[in-house]
Amino acid sequence: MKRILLVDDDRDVVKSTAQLLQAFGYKVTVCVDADRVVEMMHSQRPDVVLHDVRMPGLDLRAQVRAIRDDPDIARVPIVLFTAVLSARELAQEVGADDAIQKPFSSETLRRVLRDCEARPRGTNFRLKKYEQA
Amino acid sequence: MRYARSLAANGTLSAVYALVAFGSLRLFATLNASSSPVWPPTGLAIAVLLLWGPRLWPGIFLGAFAANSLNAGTPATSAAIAAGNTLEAIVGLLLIRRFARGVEVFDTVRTVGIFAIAGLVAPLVSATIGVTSLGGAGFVPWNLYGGVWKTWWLGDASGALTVAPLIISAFRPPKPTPSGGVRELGAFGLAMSAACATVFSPAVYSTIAPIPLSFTIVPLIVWAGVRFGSRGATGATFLFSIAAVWGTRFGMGPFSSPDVNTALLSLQFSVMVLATTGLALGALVHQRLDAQEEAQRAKAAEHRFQTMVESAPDAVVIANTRGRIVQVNSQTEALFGYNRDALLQLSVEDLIPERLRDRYREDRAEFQASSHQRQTGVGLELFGQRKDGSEFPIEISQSPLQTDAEDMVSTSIRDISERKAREAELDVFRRQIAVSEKLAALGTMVSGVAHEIRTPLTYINNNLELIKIQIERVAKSETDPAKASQAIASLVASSKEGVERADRIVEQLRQFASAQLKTEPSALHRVVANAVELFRSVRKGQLVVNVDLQPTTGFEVDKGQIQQVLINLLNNGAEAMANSGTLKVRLRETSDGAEIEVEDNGPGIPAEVQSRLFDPFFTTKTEGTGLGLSVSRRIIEAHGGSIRFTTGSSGTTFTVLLPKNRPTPEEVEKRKEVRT
Repeated sequence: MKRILLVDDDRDVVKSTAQLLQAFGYKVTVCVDADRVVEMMHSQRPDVVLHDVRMPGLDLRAQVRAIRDDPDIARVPIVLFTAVLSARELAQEVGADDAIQKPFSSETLRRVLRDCEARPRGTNFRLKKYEQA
Repeated sequence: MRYARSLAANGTLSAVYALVAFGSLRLFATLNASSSPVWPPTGLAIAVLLLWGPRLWPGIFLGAFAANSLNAGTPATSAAIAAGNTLEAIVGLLLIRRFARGVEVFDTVRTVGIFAIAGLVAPLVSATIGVTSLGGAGFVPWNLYGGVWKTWWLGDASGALTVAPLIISAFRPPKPTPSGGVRELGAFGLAMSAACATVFSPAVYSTIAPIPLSFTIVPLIVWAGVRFGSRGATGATFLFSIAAVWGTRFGMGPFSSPDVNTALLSLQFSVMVLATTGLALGALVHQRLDAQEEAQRAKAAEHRFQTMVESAPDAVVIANTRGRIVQVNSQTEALFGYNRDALLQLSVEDLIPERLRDRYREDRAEFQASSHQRQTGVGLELFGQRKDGSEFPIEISQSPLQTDAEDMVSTSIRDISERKAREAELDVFRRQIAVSEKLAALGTMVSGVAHEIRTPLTYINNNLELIKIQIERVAKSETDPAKASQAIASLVASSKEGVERADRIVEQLRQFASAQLKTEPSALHRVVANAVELFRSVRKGQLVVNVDLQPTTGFEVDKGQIQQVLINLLNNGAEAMANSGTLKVRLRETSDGAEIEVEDNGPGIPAEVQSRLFDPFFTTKTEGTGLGLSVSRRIIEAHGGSIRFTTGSSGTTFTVLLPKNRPTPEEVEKRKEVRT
């Protein structure tokens, strides 16, 4: 079972998304504080990080760099989890692996996560384009 | 000092007087030692008193006393004669001062006439006192009283009429100066010398005795008077008088007779007539020159006025109090399309559209009642009407114009069509700016708003997926229906809450984007809270906004516009702090309104940009329009309020003051300008 670290500060979004992921068979850990992401990645060892882009005190670019610079967790795929209009461009810009634009269909969610799983662990895979459902 | 000067003046006068008087007595007093037919001292005395004042009377008295004492009689007769001479001068002075304009006596023909009378009247005093005292002392036999008195009187009178004008016009030349030049003066001198030589040369008058050659001097005196004024006339008369007296005294010329006294009296009478004629002519010339100069000045003034009217930048219409046009400039012709002659046939009313004439008439009456310079049409719509009937907007200013003939009103008229057009353009531009500013503000918000609406959409969508999963599980009997329905109810509730959240955002957005400035009774703290909530949702996660809002009701504001102001201030604060930090928003009710403060803890506003902060298009941001604060200020001012700021190295606080009272009509008017 794959582990997902879900980083978001909106209670309702976190709750519903976590339920959905669990329904699809993922093990979900929730993090509502952007400052604790690196620490939780170390402790929880997620296979994928779903990361919101607007959170109090969050500098997204610095956050991605911090993860990439940490050898233990550098290769964990980071999927931006965002409602901004140009999610994929933003992902490319900050060096994240992929993006899911809110609101999303369950198909999109599962496809993106499947792509992440399909990627051999340890390779920094290129960003792919996904059509919005 | 004054005393010393007076003493010196009196001393000098007495010496001169004594010298002239003694000489006259010794040379010409043939009938009686004390009575001379030639007596210049009278003229000297009157002139001196007229020029330098009656305080010089002691000089006259002393001079006369000295001359007479040296000449004949006793100290008593000398004193009496001196008193008579002094009184004579004072009487002359008083008469001339009272009736003949004092030293200006030779400026008009009328005063010259009065001077001639005074010159005859004053010597009555001297002659009567002098001859009577001499008679009383036995120096004049009573049978000769009449002859001596006559000699005395005529001698003094001729002295007064010849010498006084000479001295006065020498010290006080009349202006303007007559036209005769130096050459002409030379020619005149030659002619005068020739005439005197001819008249008093024994070779001439003895051969043609019956011809009254003395009349040749008359045209010369006229010449002098006309070409050289009073000065010329009196000078010529005096010169002739010297020559004639000299000739006659020594038996030459047409006046000579075996009795020297009779001859001299006859001459003196002629001289008096000549002197008066010359003075009258001189005065006439003077008056004519004066009139000419006055006319020239008036003409120059008229010309200046014409030029001034013509060179005025505006159309100038000068009308009398009945509104009849009496003068216009070429700008008026161009502006109204009439030619000048046609304009001068019109009234001011004809230049005003029919519908506005009544108002103009009232206005004119009011203006005439107040009668001072003023501008009309400020704040009013005034129109002019061209010859072809078309109207155009004008601005006018009026000033009263008092002339000798009648009171007039000068009206400057300016065509303000262009200005109006520019204002209208500017107005459109301003509206466009307001719209684009709003659009710009909206633009920066769109992504934020999209984000904000998508968040509830996200979990609504998730919930629907979860509901679907629950239903599938029930269908496959993988779960207990009761448990599933409980889960579904929870998901539906959460979804409904999400729908409300989205709706709230849309409502805030609607308020913000509201195109009308529409005030309504508002709870100010809610308006501020909404703005902050909107800002927070847009800037989610980037900044902390602390609010401290005192419940404040009873305000009439345009919620959308006030929110726009607050969003602007919050955006500025956020940008000042590089999008991270704490903003503070406070609302306090004050005695006459409310005070909203937006405080950031950024680096403060640099001194060099502070004064331009509210200028339209002034911005320090690379992508700013520079309109946020200017629009904000206009909105606040339209509400009758004000906006200000304090800044320092530890942050900036913008303070918005809003009045509680309902706005006045002017403020409502102002508000319309902001409406977009």
